[in-house]
Amino acid sequence: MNTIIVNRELCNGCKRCFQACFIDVIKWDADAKRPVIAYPEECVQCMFCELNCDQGAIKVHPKYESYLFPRESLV
Amino acid sequence: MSERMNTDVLVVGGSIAGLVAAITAKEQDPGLDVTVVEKYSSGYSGKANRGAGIMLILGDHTPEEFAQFYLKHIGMYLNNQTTLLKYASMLNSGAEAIEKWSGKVDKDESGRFRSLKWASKIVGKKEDGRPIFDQNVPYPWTLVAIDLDYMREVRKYARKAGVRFVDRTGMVDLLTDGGKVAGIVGYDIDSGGQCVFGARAVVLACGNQCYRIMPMWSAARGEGVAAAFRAGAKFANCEFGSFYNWTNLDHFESDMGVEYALYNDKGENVGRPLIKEIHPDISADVVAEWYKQTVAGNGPLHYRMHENPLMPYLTSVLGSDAYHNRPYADRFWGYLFFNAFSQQTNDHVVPGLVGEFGGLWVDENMATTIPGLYAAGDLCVQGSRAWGATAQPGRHRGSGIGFATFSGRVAGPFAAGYAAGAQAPSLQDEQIEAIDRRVTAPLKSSGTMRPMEMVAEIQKVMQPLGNSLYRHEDRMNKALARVEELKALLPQLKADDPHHMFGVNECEATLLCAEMFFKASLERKGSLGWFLREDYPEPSKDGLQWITVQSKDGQVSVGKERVPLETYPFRP
Repeated sequence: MNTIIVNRELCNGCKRCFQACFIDVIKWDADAKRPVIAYPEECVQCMFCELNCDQGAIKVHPKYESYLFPRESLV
Repeated sequence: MSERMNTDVLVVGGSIAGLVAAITAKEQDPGLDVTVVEKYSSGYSGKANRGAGIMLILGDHTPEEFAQFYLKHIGMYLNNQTTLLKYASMLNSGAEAIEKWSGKVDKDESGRFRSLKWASKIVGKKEDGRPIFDQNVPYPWTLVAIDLDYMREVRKYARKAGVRFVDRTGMVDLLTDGGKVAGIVGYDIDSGGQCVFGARAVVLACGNQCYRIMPMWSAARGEGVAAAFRAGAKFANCEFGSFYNWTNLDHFESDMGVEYALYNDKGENVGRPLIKEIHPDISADVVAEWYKQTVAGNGPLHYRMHENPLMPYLTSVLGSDAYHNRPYADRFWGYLFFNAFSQQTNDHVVPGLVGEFGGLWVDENMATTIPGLYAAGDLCVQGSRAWGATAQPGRHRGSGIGFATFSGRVAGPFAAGYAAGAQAPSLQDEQIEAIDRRVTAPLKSSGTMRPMEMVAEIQKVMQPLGNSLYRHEDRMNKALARVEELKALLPQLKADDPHHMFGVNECEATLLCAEMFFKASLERKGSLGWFLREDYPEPSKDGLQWITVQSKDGQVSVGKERVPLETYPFRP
């Protein structure tokens, strides 16, 4: 699966990464005011969390070989 | 504990179609309460901010020119010409509206939209290094570019206009009262709490079905399709919901124009011979050729990128600031291309199923067959029949945002007009309880199957080109049988949190879409436009007909309607 890293020191709790995720991979910890990478196995490397972080506090490393795609069912 | 809320116009889905519908409903009648309900976060959700960010406009061409070209080369006259002409006539003003709401449409130094026609060729460079294009191409439309953070600005505009937003709440079903729409049932995707909305009118704008195969289309899981079906709405042109994009299995990003440079393993260009003089975009014939070559043992198929004549257009529009000024989009595409090309190990190319299954039937006012229920965006592209015998994006790129903006600007005001004259809805507890039992069942299930396991099984039925593109009765019957087997497994799906509860609801919706797709496909006995049958290679002798789908006692029932060509201005 993709690796999504949050630098909790750089993060300022703006929630942008959580809002930018269009498939609920990222949840929000309201007490800690930090994102929770809850379902990384469903991440589709759209990069919107990283793109929208003004602090550079979140990074996505795609691992395409584990992306869910029916490789053996093409024809 | 259930939360209850009432509103006049309820818009389901906070991507561009829903935002546009909400703004225009509010502007039509500022006294109405307009609410947008979004499963994730409106202004970020959906796919209208994760594509090329190009929007079709007519430029100097007339709606009639556009329609005549479109009918002949793309729609094959299987179009609702009334809606096609209305769509065409509202494209230019649609781009102006997006600019008014977002300020994000790219403009030149004089403040005019900087447009570029599809497939234009570079013929020189300006002093500042920007390319000069020869835009003398035979397509009666052009494209403007929008920076991909535009939806955030549109949401801000909507909020200032008085639109109310409820984020993190996903719709699972519609409520009806005496055959009319009465509201929706939703759940908080974080807490799992139920939220019931009563509404005088509802606009469904929550996307179509893309089977979670290609990455950028992953959010389109068909819950709106399924909810409308269960409520009794009619569908049309469902058999056209199988768009494919070229991709590479090393990274799954999309390529355009591959068909010009598609080679089999013997070194023969097998795409270009199938390209006609008028080739607005990828056709089903060239995708089918990939299938035929592979089945014949001539694979893998190769893409020689340097021979793609679209590259000057593509590289100037995507992932660079060579032509347009779009800093956010440049960064976005920069990320994707860097990641993709740093991982690509070969030039193999495959068609990846995008799907874009959105057959909710609407008339030219975006009204569905259920009083008070309207639709906008991808959910009703095929069902509007405006585009005829083609899959979305309709062989004219830039049409996704184009259609979303058009249909939102029509659905919003008509929904507002309906709401102004409608009675306050009466919500029936039995309906709400039945929906709750269905949706929460996976939380109590003793099964062990996970939603993502089901997604993988559905993908294996939908992705094969022999099932979904180059179709044959025998293969489709086998695919349908597998869909039925998977439907029987739905009670085995287990959810242990709201995320997976939604996941199960999505799987149920996806299987329903698959069933509608194959049943409609079996009914169309002839090849036309994007729709190809190996066993019926010629157009049907029965004339132009729309295949319709509707629930009959909860089952998928298929019918036919003749296209009323005699009432339309243009004929084959």
